[in-house]
Amino acid sequence: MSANLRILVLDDEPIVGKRLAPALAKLGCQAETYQDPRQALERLDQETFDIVVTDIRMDEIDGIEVLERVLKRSPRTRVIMITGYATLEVARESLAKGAFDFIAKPFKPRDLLETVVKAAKDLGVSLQLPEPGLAAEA
Amino acid sequence: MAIVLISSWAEEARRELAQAVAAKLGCPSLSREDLVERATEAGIPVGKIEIAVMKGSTPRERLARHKSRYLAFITAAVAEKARETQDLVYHGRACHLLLPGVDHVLRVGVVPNQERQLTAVMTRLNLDRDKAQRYLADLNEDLRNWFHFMHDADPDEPGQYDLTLNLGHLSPESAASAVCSMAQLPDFAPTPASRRALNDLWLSAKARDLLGRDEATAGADLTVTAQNARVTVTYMPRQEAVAQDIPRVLAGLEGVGELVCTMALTNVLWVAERFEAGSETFAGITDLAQRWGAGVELLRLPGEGQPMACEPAHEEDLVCRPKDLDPTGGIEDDLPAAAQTSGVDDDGMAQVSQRLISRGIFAGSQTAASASAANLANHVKGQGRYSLVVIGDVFASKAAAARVRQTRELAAAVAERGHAPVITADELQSKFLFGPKQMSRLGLYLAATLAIYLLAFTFQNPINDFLAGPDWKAWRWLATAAIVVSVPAVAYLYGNATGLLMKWFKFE
Repeated sequence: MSANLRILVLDDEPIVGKRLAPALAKLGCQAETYQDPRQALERLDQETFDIVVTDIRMDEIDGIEVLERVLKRSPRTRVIMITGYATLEVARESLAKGAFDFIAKPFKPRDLLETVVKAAKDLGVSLQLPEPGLAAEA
Repeated sequence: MAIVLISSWAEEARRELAQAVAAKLGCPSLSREDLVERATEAGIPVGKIEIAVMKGSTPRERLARHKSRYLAFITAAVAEKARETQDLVYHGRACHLLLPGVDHVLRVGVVPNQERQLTAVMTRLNLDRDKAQRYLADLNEDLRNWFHFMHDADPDEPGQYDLTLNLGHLSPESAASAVCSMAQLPDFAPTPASRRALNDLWLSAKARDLLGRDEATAGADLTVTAQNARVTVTYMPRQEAVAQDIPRVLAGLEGVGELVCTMALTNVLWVAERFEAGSETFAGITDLAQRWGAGVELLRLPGEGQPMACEPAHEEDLVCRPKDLDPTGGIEDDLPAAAQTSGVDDDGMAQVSQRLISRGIFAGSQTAASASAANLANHVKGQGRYSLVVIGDVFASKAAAARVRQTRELAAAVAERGHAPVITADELQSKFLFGPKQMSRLGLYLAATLAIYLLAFTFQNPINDFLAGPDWKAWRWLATAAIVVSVPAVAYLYGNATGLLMKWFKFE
């Protein structure tokens, strides 16, 4: 089932998706990346993803709204929040609203992979972390 | 007028009060949230600190350096704004601790209206009452951990504030009036001395901030102080290379009258099986190191039966860690092995290292492969590197007699290798520091010395007769014996009294 794990990555900085997609592919996941939150939400309305990785601070629609929309449509989906402006208050708010985990930028792709592996395990899917070497920071 | 620092974990409560106070006083206001945004943009990973405190994940040594940068940035920004505008209202989570030593600062603590806070959370986050209560409880726990980590202080200590306001019993308007009245008291009026203190604080924080931003100096353990525009930067001997970069980094800093770059003269080596940041030994060693301008190096001895794995690291060091607690688990990581301390029971070494880094006196840490005297030669450096070695808690699992013997052997081995005086933690206080015991001894010695001099001057004639008078001519040997005994006794009492007095006034 690992090869079928579907992940949506949403971050308004294109470099984030570019760097995370290959790392997630090494984990055997199918990753779709978006920079525009509206397009991402449209896609989320059409398709159910196993894991959503979303930035919090974006223009027009913020990550907390994405989290709420995703969980409303698919409570099974695990949502991982990422942000460069993390605070205890925002992290606790995300967790209180049902986020699976919270990662502060800058982080290494491996940090995200470890969280994805945990989220997959929570969904009953076993994933194997690839060999180290993904040191570049997102 | 005073600089008003309004401190509370409840952002809404402090923001509301700060805005009301600033409006009444007609002065600018600034918030932690404004500065955190700027700090993040300046490359300080504030978010990582927050989340690491919440999760307890990032290695403490790295976290301590981020913390140091963050505190320098925030202090510099608040002090700079206060210098520009003369008066300022600033609000933050623990901002009352930001400008120590500046007398024209009014430090206000705010206790929010609990019910109002809960209702606001329920509305803002769209949570039911139970979830909102759990959210606030979790958040307050995180904030307590953050406070401890960031400021090494107890948030419940009331003496930190000049004024504490309970908004459960006071409207924001009334609270603002109380703050404004107090801010205008002459006790909080700026003086030339308090302005100078603010300027020095700004200068040292700004210098620390600049040094933290430069690639060449960012990773160094530096102590920065400023006094009357004279900035002193102290670096550790193991980081000597940064000395040439410090003047370059601080070249453009306005207001520096004189820049002094100095190497920590020496190191104090603390050898122990277990380290405690809150212990008397820690307090004594850091006090001593700061007085001597020394760094503190930690050498951890493994407990009995704890197998260690060692590998050569940078310079001539060996890095050892418990085999069964190896955090890599055979999987390599991006961090150097020596930096991985998180999640491992390292007998308090990471926590103590973090505290030492915060004070700018961390000179390195290592774990010995075993506690045997022969093995220690690999870890204790010679060539007069240490001015003092303190043996803390060692051989805890041994019986008392064996512990004393092995501690003595260990002290001898360390002294031989390190060419430095070796003392136990118990001796630290009596030999180098001044506490209640030393105070009572000082009282005794001073009283005895004064009594002897008083007697000698009160009874001069009988004493002269005894020493040289005709009545005692046949007893000259007794006078000689009395002098032989009394002169060293007086010298002993007087010497101890003056020695303790010098220790009290910190004259080395």
